[in-house]
Amino acid sequence: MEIVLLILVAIMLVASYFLFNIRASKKQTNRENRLNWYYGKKKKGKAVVNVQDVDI
Amino acid sequence: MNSKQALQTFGRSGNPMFSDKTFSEKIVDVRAERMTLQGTVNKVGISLILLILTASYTWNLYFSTNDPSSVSGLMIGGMIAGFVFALATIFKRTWAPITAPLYALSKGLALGGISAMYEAQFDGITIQAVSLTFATMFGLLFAYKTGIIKPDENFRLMIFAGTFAIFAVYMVNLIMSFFGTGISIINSTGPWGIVFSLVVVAIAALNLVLDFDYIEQGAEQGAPKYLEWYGAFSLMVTLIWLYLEILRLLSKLRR
Repeated sequence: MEIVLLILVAIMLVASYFLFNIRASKKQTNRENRLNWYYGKKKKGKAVVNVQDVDI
Repeated sequence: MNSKQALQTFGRSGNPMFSDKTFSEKIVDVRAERMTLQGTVNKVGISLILLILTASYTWNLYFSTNDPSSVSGLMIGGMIAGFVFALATIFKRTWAPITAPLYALSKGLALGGISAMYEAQFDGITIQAVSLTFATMFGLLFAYKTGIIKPDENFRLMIFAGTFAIFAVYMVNLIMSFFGTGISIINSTGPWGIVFSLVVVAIAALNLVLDFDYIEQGAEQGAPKYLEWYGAFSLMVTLIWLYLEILRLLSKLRR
C-alpha cells in the first residue's frame, strides 16, 4: 500500500512539474476580471515600461 | 549663433544614428533578469528538497530514540525560526532568495517531528497525508491551467475572509490554551470536528489557486527575478498548511 502511494506521489510530482511549466489556457489569461497582483514599487512620475514591449 | 541659425547654416545631420527619437526614448535595462515559470518551479523543487532534508533528520531522530522529548526542542525551534523567516520574507520580498530556503529548512525540522509523532500513533498516516496533499495540488493546478477555476476579486475576498477567520479561531484557541481550556471543535473527533477540518482543508487548498495565479501573472508581466523565490515561498506556506490540516483530518477519521 505504502509503495503504491509513494509511486503515485512521484508520478504526481513529475506531472505537476511539467504542468506548471505550461502557460495557462487563454480561457484563464484572456479574462477581463483577472486579479491585480502587486509585484513591486512603481516610481512616481516615471512611466512603467514593459520590457516585452521594447523593440531591440 | 543660436540653434535655428546653426540648423540653417549646417543643415540637419544625415547620420541615421541621430534621429529625432534618439534621446527621447526611455532607457530600459533589458538585461535585467525576469521571473519565469521554469525558474519558479525549480525554486519550489529546491525548497521541497531542503524541507525533506531537515524533516528526515527529525523523523529519524524520533524513531531512533522513540522519545518525543528528543525532537521537541528542534520542533519548537523550527516553528519559531520558520515564523520569523516567514515574516522577514513577507515584509522584505527582496530578501526572499535567502529567507525562503531558510524557511523551508526550519519548517522541515518541525514537520519531521510532527509527522513522526502522528506516524507513531497511526501507522501509514504520513504517506497518506503527503499523497493527498500532492494530489490536491495537482488537481487544482490542472483546474487552474485549463481555466476550470478562474480566480477573480470575489474569489480572493472569499478566500482571504475564510483564511482570516481560521487564523482568528486558532489564535483564540492558543490564548485559551494558556488558561487550560480551548475550542473543542478544533480537536474534536465527532462529526462537527470532522466538518470543521474539511472546511479548513478546503480553504487551505483554494489558497493554492491564488498562489498559482500570482506566479502565472508574475511570469507574464516580467516581474523581478527575486519574486520567483517569493512565489515559491508562498506556495510552500500553503502546501505546509494543507499537509498539516490533512494530517489532522486523517487522524480524526482514524480515532
